[in-house]
Amino acid sequence: MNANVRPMKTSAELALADIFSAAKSTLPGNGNIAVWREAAFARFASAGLPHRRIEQWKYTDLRAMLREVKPLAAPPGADAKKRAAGAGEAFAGLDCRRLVFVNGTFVPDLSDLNSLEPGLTVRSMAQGLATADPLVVAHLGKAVAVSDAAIDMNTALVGDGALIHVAADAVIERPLHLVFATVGERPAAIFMRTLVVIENSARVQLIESHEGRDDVDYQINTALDIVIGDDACVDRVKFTNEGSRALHVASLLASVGARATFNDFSFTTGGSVVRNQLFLRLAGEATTANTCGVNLLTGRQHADTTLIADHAVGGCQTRQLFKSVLDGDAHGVFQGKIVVRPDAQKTDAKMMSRALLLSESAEAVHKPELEIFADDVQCGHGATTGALGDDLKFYLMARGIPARDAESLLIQAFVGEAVAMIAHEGLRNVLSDAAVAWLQARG
Amino acid sequence: MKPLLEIRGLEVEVGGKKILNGLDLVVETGGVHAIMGPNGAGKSTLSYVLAGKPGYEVTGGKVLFDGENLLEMEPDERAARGLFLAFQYPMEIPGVATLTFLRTAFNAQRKKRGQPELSVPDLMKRVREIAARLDINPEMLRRPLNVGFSGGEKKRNETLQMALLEPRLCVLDETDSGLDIDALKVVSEGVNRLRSPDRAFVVITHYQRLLDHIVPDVVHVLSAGRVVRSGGKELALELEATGYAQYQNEAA
Amino acid sequence: MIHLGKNTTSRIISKGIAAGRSQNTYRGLVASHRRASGARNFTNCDSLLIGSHCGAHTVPYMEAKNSSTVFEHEATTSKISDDMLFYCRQRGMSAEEATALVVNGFVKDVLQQLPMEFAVETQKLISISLEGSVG
Repeated sequence: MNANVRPMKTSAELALADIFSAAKSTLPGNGNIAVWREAAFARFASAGLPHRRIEQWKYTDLRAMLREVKPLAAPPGADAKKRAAGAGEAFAGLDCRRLVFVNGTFVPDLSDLNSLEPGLTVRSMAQGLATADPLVVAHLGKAVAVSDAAIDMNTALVGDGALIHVAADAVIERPLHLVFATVGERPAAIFMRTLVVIENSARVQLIESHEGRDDVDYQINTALDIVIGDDACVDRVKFTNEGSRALHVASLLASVGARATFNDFSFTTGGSVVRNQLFLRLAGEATTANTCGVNLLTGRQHADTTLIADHAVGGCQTRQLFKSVLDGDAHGVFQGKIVVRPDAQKTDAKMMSRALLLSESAEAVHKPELEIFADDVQCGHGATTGALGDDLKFYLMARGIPARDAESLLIQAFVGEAVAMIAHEGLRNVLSDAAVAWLQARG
Repeated sequence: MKPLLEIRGLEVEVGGKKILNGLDLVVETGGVHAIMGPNGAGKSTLSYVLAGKPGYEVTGGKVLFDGENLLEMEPDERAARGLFLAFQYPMEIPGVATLTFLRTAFNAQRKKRGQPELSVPDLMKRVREIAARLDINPEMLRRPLNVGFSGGEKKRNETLQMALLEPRLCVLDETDSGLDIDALKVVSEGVNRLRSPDRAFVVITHYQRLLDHIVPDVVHVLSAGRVVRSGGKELALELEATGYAQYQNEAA
Repeated sequence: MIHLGKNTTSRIISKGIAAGRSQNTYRGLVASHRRASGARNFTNCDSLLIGSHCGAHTVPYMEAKNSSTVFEHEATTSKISDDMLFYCRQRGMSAEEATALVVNGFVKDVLQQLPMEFAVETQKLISISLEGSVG
């Protein structure tokens, strides 16, 4: 159990309390929504910022890392919107429906809300909260029962985000690209929440991209609740390329229905401290959930991927494949837990996490966990840490390829295995190009 | 003299699907019966039901082994009474040396029959003699059972087990599948050496080739879960020439 | 397992068996220090579940602080396959005897490292522990 020593509140925790009491009357949502925010903040306040004695945050001591909390971001003015016009351009070549959020606020002018496909509804979360939208009331925070300080903070302080609904049987061909850009000139804290509800047998693809300025130390706490109905099929790609001084904490709460498929991919290159936490609950039989990711880190970046796949019922299959490439003084953390409940027989769960260390001072941590309570299962995990194979490198160099290029080729192959899991060809290319760009920046 | 194996009107379902549809078969001690038929006819199902594999539901009919109800016995009880199934796909058991497996099985059966267990040296001697006749390298006896063995090695291993356990009824489930001509000869010789008036064989095969080496007294054609024709060993040659098509229509 | 010196190699083989209503957990740390160049570790944790009322858990921590570290970790959790049990039973073993045989095979490579007297005692202990937990 946790060593529950409660020392004095840190200045960041005190600041958050001040921010909440000042902001709560203006944050969207009254009545039950306001009560819900209060309850969330109360839970957060009693637990405080997560620290290294909390098992799940062992390697990312947010309490120590978060020295001060920035003021809540203000809605973007015309200048900010102009600066954000080119956001998400890495994906410009793909035919997607863009939903643009600048400094945490939805900007319809920069977004594409024309001719929504039949069955697709898109609204801003601010609106959803303000009107106590039935979807919000029914689903927000309910996909997975998890007690987590970052999610509680998000619930308490959320300003905006997206509220998306895909009706039963609707097949949305054009991917939805949620573009999150932070362009404020002064550091700010942004709390965003998106809820996507996909009804039975529907299909949709989501892309989420996060970017911001390198010269500002802004703070992002974002969360995505996905509720996937039976027989539905959902793909999500999250591209995190925050500014080099940014703090980014992201939570995914996904519940997957019977016979549904959920493919999730996280690609992280930016940010100073990034925490991607994924909570998956397989709620129906015969579901398939594939969670993959690539982290490319250098400098003094710290990126932590923490994932819990909960096999609540039997007959489901999960696969996780994570690759990290760590250069400079970067720290990469992977914590992946597979839980198989007592009656979840015939579970098939496999996890693989690999880290490539490119420099003397990079550090990699793996903690793949299995918590198995049913016996007729096939569960396994693997983890490796190492450097580029000398033999392989030598082979390429012996064929005339210079050392750096040989390394690049090998790293691209390493990363490519995970990127290959993405079904959408255009997206695969975007991410492969991003990997190549990162390699070129190495010098 | 009562028959060794008597199957009357056997009906079996697997996963809710009916595979055996009123199968009749009588095997006398000393007889060698071949069962041939197209894929899906129920050949392997028959062998698994006789051996008592879970998942095979008997919905009708009866099976008597030496006059006793076979279907009421646990798999190990059937083995102790002298039933042996040579698997089509023998299992690999990591960490369990072949010799250890043989010793455990052998003594388990002896114990059930109220016979004294054999000492390790005595057992080793028997095993080595049989292994030599089957062209099995004694080194293989130390390796974990079937792990990394080729198809031919696995089948020779099955034959070694059969020779050691001295069963009264040997059911060979597609013993020839995956074997080249040399392995086939070695395995067949091993089986033929065990032929005796006290022992019966049910040889299940899709192809006639095996029956050149293990010559049957009776050949039965199994189609859609029933025996549709029986005859002498010439029937096998006839099947090779004409195929199974005519029986598939008959049985339908 | 803490790697401090240069060119150190370690191997962890853990075999966990849970039967009855027990919960078996492996929790292990493998770490290489900043200066521990050439550190190598191979860890293999396998768990066997006997019966459906027990649990097997694996919690490995791998912390590599040196780029020439090579750490590999594999873990699997499953039960004894029904096919394997049937094969043993067809050869005359009771369900308990078959389980004991397969379990012994499962732990074989760990037992082999023990002096013979311990190995013999351990095997006896395994069969006593399994008594009553099968079927």
